Formats: sequence, C-alpha cells, structure tokens
Amino acid sequence: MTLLLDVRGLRAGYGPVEVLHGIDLSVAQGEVVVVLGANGAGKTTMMRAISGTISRHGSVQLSGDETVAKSPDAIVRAGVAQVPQGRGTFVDLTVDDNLRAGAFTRRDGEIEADLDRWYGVFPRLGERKTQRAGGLSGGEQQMLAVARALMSRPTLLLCDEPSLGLAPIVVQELFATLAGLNRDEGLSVLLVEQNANLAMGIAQRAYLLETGTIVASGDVDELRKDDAIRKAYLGY
Amino acid sequence: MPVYLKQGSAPHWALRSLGALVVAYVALSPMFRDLSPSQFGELTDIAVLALAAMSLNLLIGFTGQISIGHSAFFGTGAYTLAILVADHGWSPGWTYPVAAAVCFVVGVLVGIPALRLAGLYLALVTLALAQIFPALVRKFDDLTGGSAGIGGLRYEAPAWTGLESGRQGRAEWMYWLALGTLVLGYVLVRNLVKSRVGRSMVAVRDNTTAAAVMGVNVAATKTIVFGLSASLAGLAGCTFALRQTQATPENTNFTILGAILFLVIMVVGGSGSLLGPIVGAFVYYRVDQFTRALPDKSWLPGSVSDFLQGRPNLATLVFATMLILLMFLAPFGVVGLAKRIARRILIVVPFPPSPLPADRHA
Amino acid sequence: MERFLQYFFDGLSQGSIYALIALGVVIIYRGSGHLNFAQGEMAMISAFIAWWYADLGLSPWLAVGVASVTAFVAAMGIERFIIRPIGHKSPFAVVVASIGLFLGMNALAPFAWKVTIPQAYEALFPDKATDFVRIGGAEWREQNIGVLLVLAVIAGALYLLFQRTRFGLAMRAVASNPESAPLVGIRTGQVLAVSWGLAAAVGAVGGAMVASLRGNVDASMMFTIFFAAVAAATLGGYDSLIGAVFGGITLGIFENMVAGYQPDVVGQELKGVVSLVVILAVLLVRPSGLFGTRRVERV
Repeated sequence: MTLLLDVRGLRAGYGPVEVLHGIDLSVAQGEVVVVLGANGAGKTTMMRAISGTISRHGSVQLSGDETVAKSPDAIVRAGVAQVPQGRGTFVDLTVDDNLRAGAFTRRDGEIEADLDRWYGVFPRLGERKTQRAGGLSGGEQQMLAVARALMSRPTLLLCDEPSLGLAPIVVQELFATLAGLNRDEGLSVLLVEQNANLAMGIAQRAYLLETGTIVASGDVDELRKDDAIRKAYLGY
Repeated sequence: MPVYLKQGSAPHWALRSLGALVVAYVALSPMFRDLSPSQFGELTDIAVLALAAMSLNLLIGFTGQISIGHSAFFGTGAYTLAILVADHGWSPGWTYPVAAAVCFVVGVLVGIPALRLAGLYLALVTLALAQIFPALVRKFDDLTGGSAGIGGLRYEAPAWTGLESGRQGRAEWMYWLALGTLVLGYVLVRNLVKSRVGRSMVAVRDNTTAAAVMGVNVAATKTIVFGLSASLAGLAGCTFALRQTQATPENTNFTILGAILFLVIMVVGGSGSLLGPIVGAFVYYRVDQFTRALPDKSWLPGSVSDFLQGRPNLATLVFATMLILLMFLAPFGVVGLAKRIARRILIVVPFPPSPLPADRHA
Repeated sequence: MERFLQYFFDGLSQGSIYALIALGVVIIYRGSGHLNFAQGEMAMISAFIAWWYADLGLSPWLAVGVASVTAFVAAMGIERFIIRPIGHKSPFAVVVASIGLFLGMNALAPFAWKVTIPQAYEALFPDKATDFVRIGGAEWREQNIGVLLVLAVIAGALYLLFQRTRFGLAMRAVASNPESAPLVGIRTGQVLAVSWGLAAAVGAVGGAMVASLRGNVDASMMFTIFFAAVAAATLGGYDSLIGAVFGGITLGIFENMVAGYQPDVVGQELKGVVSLVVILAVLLVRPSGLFGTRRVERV
C-alpha cells in the first residue's frame, strides 16, 4: 500500500544555512505521527519543507506523486493542509472569511455545508462568525487555524506546535478533536510538538528530530519504553 | 589569491599615501594645465553634483533614511547667496558660511518632526518639501524675485589668488570654490562616520530602540546630521547659483526632479561609501553628455538617429533605466561593485584590539 | 453660503481625483507593503495612452477603457519583472526602483510621443460654460458631477471585488498575512501582480479625469496630484480603501476651502502646503490614519 506521505533525504534551510540534513519519514493512511524535538531542531523547517513554502531538495511523495518541485498551492490541492506555528490567522478578516479562505482551492458546491459542519465541531467559532479574527483568544485562534486547514478537505493535516501558548484545558480539547477526526474520518495527521506526553497520547508512531536529523523512530509504545528517550523528552 | 595587508602596517600606509597622491594630482592638475573656462565649468558642475549627492549620503549613512527633498536645501543655499549678493552687495565668498548656517537651521527644523517618522513617511515629507520649494519661491517674490528670479551673480576671482579677472579667472576660481567645498564635505562626512558617535550610529541605525537603550542620543544626533546634510546641499547650491549666474524657480535642480537626480547620483556611485557620490557625479555627467550628443553621432545607424531626432529626455530615460538595472545588478553602486571586485585582490585586515591583560598570559 | 457651496463642489471634484489616485496607492500598499512612487506618473502615461487611442479613432470613453486595460497589463509586468525580483534583495532597493520608475515614466511621455507642450484632450463630460446645475446659488459643473460619479462607480466596483469575490478574498488574505496565504493555496505572486494591475487601471481612469478637466495632457500634470493623493492615503490610513476615498474627498474639499477663503495666505500655488500640513498632522497625532489598522510595534 502506498504511503500517504513518504519523505526521503529531505534537505532544506534558509539561504546558506542548511537546517535539515536529509531526513526520512513517512505517514501511512489513517495514522497520527508525531515529530518530537527541542527548540531549533528543525521541526518548523520540516513542516514548511513538506508544505512547499520554502525551497527544498530530496523526495517528498504524496500517495506516490513526487511533490518536491511543486508550488505550495499545488500541494494544498494535492490534499495537504498546514496549521502553522503561531496560528497564522488572517487577523484582519472575519472568522467566516478565514474559513472561506481555507477553502480557496476548492471549486465544488459543498463549501457552505462544510462551514456548517465545522461550526458544529467548534461551536465557539460559530458564535464569533462575523468577528474580526484578531480579536479571538489564543485557543480560539488555534481552533480557527485547524478548521481553516480542514476546510480544504485535506487527506494529510500538518500541525506545527498546536499547543504553544494555550491553556492546558484548551490543549486537551484540541487534541481530543484531532484524535476524534483521525478515528472517525481517517484523517492522517503529522504533528510537531514539544508537549511530548500529550502528542504521544494520540499518535501511533513518533520520530525524534535533533539538529536536522532523525535520531530515533518507532511505535509510540516502544519509544516510551526506551529510558534515554523517556528521560530526555518525557521528563520522567 | 587575495593579498592580505594588516591595517596600519607599513605597506598599508604606503598604499594609502600613493592613493592620496594620485587623487591630489588629479584634483590639483587643472592648476598645472591650461583648461578653458568651459572645461573648468564642467569640473565645477561635477563637483557641485558630487557635493549634493554627498549630503544625501551622509543622511542615509547615519539615519538610514532617504530624502527626496534635498533640492529644497540646495535651492535655499542658492537663494541665500543670490539675495545677499544682489540685494545687499555682499561678496559671494562670505555668503557661503551664511548659506550653510541658514540651511543647517532649516535642516534641523525639518529634522525634528522627521525623527518621529519611519523611513517611508520621511521620504514623503521630504517629497513635500521639494514640491513646495519652487512654489514658496514664487510666492515670496519680494524677496526672491519671483518667477523671474535673481540674476547677475558673478564672482570675480579675488586678487590674492593671482588669477586673472574675466571669464577665465572666474571659471577657475569657481572650480576651486567647488573643489574646496567638496573636500570640506568629504572631510566632514569621513570624520563623522569614523568618530565614536558615527560608528555607533551606523551600527544601530537599523534599530533605533537598541541605540536608545545603549545610551546614544539618537534624537539629537539624527537632528544634527539632518542639519549638516542640509548645509552641505546648501553649499553646493551656492556654487551652482554662481555657475548659472542666476537663481530662478524654473531650474530643475530646485524641484523634485533635482532631488531625485541627487539620489540617482548617490545610488549610481554607491551609497554607504565615501567616494560614491564623487564617482556617481562623474558617471552621471559623462553619461548625460554622451546621451545628449548621441542623436547626432555619425556612427549611429540612420534609423536609430532618425528615431531619436526631436525626442526629449533621452538622458533621463537612460538614467532611470540605469537606476533600475543597478538595483538588480549592483544595489551598492559602482563603488560597491568595485569594492567587491577589489576584495578578490586585496584585503585589509583590521588592526586587532589590544589584548586584555588575561590574554597576555595565554 | 453660495461661496461655501461653490468651494465645496469644486473641492469635491478635485477630491474625487485625489481619491482615485489614492485608491491605487492603497491597493498596492495593502497587497505588497510598498508605496508606489510612480503611481501618479503611471496615471499620467495612461492618460497619454488614452489620448493616443482617441487620436487613432477610438471614442473618448472607449479610449479610456482600453487605456485602463493597457495599464493593467503593463503594471502586472512591472510588478512581476521589476518590483518582485528587486523586492527580494532589499526594501531600500524597491524604493529606489520605484523612484526610478517615477523618473523614467515622467521622461517617457514626451520621449515616446515627441511632445514638449501640453496636448489637447477631448473632454469626457459636457464642459461648456453653461453645463452646470445650480444648487443654492452655486454652480455645480456637470463635469465635476461626472468625476464624482466615476469615483462612485469605481469605488463600488472595488468594494464588490474585494468583499464578494473569491479573488478579492485572496487579496485581503494576502494583505492581512502574506505568510499564511500560500498555506491555503493562494498564489501570492498572482495576487501581487493583479494588485499592481488594478491600481494602475484605477489610476488610468484618474489620469483621464485629470486630462479631461484640464483639457490637455501634460507630462507634469500629476506631480501635485500624486502628492495630494499620498496625503489623502495617509489621512485615511494606508491600508484602508474606504480611507482612501474619504481622505481624498476630505482633502480636496478642505484644500479648496483654505485656498478659497484665504487666497493671500495659501492661494493656488501653495495648495501643496495644505497636503504637507495634513501629512505631518496625521503622522504626529494618529499615524495609522482615520481608517487604517493600528499596528502595535513589538520590539
């Protein structure tokens, strides 16, 4: 069975500085995969490289199609949606417009239906439909960013540190939603997180990224059993 | 490949002395050669433009902000000279310091509100200044002679110079005036840049918050620099008025096109380099002469020369294109490009700071 | 009262022109964060193009329309091939390039059409001395009403474009967060190019209005207007289209009032001073303008 996302030898950086030194990872259909790593490991660079927003070399295959040379909008059309670090909300637009922007690449007639659906899943967004997105709380903006990404009906969701700056209870709600979507709809998620515990709670497999290279990978349960990793990343 | 020279070492000093000698020879050689009044005039014009561009360079180097309004200061200097000479019988030489002072004050006055504006907005305000200057001149016609302007500005070479009176002497004397003010400007800018204040300003100009936190009095420094920049432009304007023998609001150098011209020269020569404005003025002048004479050149194919006949503004179009191309190819101008090439041949290694007491034992 | 109304009506027309050029400035600023110094000169060249098309036989209004389209395409090219690549190098370089465009376009008009004096431009509105509407004793000239209507139509069309179309949403998204826009599949480059094209097209109409009111096209006709348009955009807020319209109209009326009631102090030549004062006042008191978004600067 072809992998949904198959990354091999991915190199990327900013100008003369190379941040990713050839990483390999994969996400199968219906999986939640988490990438752990400390600050500066290159996690956001990796996400940007996969979504095509920075220049990259190597191989990034989506369901067998090579996308490493494609533009970001082509990759969105191929079914990948990114929830960027820091939310990346269109702060001057209304909540509703933010969601509609998420559906930008779609030409089908079900956008309205999807809007209703996500307002149902995230009722707080529905209440603030016509409000300026910049006025929402951090947690609400995170939900907005996720919903915006979901509006493009992706097969793979890239989530970059969704828990950053959010209150624990909000984070739990968010992760529960993601886990639910994965379980009920088979949405595949590639998750980058510093909050290792919570992330590993909803994931099947994990990778460890350290200064631009993958140093460990495997099923979540196995990694939990590894003492070194537990101490370094899970804190106990 | 590059040869490394330690700054302050004997070979470095030898190289610099050699360079200074060459420059002095080039600058002073008109004294030894017989140049016609028009040739002196050319050099004077180049020196005037160089000084105007240099005044802009000072501003950008210290505040990182662009002014497209220095034509107003240029014009203020010119009119100060004109009014003092024509209406009050001053000898032009003494008007130079007065013009510099007047422009300094005006520059400081503009600089004070300018401090509160980010680069873009400052550019706009200076645009306004350039726009308004000719209108103000026309309005206060009692003082400035309105649209007709003030004419009859001549400066006979003073007796102590040993130059003959009449056109030849005047032309040579004006060249010396222009050269003198240019050298003054160069020395001023160079010393400012290399001073403690200068280096700290240049280092933090992109981050005024950091500068303020570091204790540099950003506001005062910027305002004074604005004033000095205006003074230099004013001095250039004085010589310009003498060259033109008149000051009228019609002259393009007093309008926004003049302000843009100074900017073009600075950019072409290379912003951020001390010699840039001089190189830029030379390049500008030669290209201008070349394009003006181009339509009549015999070696030009007939169809091209027919096309060019009667079409104005070729020189300006060439410069506009040059400006845009330069932004693609050499954002740091001719001198910047030359420096990059030179670095492949010669690198001057900065003199290391004196070792800390602890290091001596290492 | 009659005098007041007269100044009001005249100022309204001048203000409409300021608004049209200011709209162009704001559209580009919102889209790319750059101030297009060449906006006025682009409008001037477009007016020359319209004049040329009319000379070639097109009816006056059709000439304006075709000139707008020409301007649209040309500006897209300028953005794509000049502004964007230079923008990758440094913002300073873009400002300089923009000034270069200003210089070049100003020089291009006389060069391309071999003209050194103003050329007669056929009026787009009835402009005989008797073409006016009398209101409260003042004459509201039909051509001035016409310019105001054109502004209304264009402003309305822009509103519909930005608020009701998919592409308008893309433009607003790019203006709000250019880094996130590619994440939802928006082609930022396309949006930038179209922003420039749109601004040029609107500017072309503005230039045609100026030429029509003056009765001629002249290479230096847009200098003071561009500057006033910038003051209008500053007043209204650089990222607000409503601000551009409001700022333009207000500035036009205010300027005309000042010049009319104080002809000795200000008069026609020094109208520019009004703009300068407005800019300074706004920047010192409320830099984001009346309708612009306030941005908190984080250190």
